[in-house]
Amino acid sequence: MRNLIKAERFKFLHSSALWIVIAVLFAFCSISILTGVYDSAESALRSISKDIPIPLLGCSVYSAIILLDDFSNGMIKHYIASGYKRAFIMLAKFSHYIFGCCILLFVYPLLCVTFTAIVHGVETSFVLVMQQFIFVYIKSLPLYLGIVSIFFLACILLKNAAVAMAVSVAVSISLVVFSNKLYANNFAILKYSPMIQLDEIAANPISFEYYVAVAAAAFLLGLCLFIGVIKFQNDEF
Amino acid sequence: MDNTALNITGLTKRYRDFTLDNVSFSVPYGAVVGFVGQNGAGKSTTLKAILGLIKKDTGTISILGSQEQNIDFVIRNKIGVVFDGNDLPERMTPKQLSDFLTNIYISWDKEKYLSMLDKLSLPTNRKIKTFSKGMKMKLAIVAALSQNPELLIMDEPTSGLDPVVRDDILNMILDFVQEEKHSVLISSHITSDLEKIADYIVLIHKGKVIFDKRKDDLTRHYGIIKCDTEQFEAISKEDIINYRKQGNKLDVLISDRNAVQTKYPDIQVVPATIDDIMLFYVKGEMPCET
Repeated sequence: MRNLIKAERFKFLHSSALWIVIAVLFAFCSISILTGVYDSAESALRSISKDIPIPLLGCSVYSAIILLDDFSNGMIKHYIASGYKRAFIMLAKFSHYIFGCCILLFVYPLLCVTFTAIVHGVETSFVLVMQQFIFVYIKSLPLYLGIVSIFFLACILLKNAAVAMAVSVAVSISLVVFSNKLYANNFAILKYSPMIQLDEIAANPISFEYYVAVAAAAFLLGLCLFIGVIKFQNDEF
Repeated sequence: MDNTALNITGLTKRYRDFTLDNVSFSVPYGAVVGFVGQNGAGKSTTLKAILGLIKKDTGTISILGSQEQNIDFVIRNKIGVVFDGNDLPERMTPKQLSDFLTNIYISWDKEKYLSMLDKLSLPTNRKIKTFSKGMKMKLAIVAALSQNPELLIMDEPTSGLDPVVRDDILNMILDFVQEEKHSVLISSHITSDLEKIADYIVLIHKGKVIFDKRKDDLTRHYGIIKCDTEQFEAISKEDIINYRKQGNKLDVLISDRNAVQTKYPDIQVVPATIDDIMLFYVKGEMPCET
């Protein structure tokens, strides 16, 4: 397992996929910044923290690139033929993916907020903005990780990068749209869902609903990982 | 005690439209075994079962003296595998590939790897995706050899390559088996390559092993009788393995050309290549019982 983690670490350090995804997301965000949609770092932070589809779209694209590379180039056969347990292979890939998502979910909004502060300034102080940013990041991270694990599962089940990316993008958009619509139509139970809690992350203090949503996200992450490992253990190459 | 590098007994794998049926053969230590068959015969399926890429239905596989239940990570790491050469991370350079593979293979020898790259004039700092097919295959073999394997399993390593590159690859394999404990299982439908390097030939057809023989027995003893219908009728059916009609003439495969030439001095008998033998077994007809 340690060797597999080292191999994934090597791939992470030598892959530009994550930084390209972040750059593309930042490029789109820059349009909002330069056109004045965000007029201060604080407003950028408030908007970005509610702008859930964008980082999810980034993670869905990232998942297909990073998880299926070894499948498409055949390297996965070498891992298996070398004697590594299939469960460990999947765990190592999942770790790489989740770590990459953590970086993406941190760097993308950081770049946007910082760039907004440079262009439009701050309402209070930059230090306070950064403190608020860190708070939002830490609070939202477990919720995001539960959701992005769905993209991991899509990749392992579908094994085709283009199809997995398309499905993951569709899932991202559907989750946001349907969660909000249903919650607005008095499906109150959705207040415990990661999607709704993400929507309210900047505004609300930590609540019981948040903890339930974190537990639900953790369960979703575990379930996706479990199903992914079982599927991979039974795959033939 | 198992004194073979690889021993397969009764390997069976069923698919909807194909069955690998009771495949049994072995790879002795220090030997090169050529695994031949036409496309779709079951060669790759057999190799995948050995490597754990597919699950077999029945049968046993022992590797490097270890029975199936004892084949662990250390044993599997002693198997060098070459697929079709297009299974390496193409965005890496060969140098980066070495730094990557050192994490995968416990006996990775970087110096040996770089030395072989240099000997084969393969660039170290160019991305693998810019390599030609032959260069990728050479790189794949270098990578497999650099993990210091004891058993090398190769699936169609010379397919689609020009004669010069094929010759280079065959020489690499011959160098590898100079060590007494090094063994090679090479699957190919290019039988001329196997005639150059193999010690044993295993023929598989429609999922079944047709024969497992020493190459020298095949090339030194097998022959083809060139005859007409009248002469064919005069040949004892016991002497015939298979025959093929070629217009008005018949080609007949026999297992002992010297004995047959002595028995039928008027009949033309020519040596059979492995290619010929494979064609006869795949496309030939069995003589009818009289």
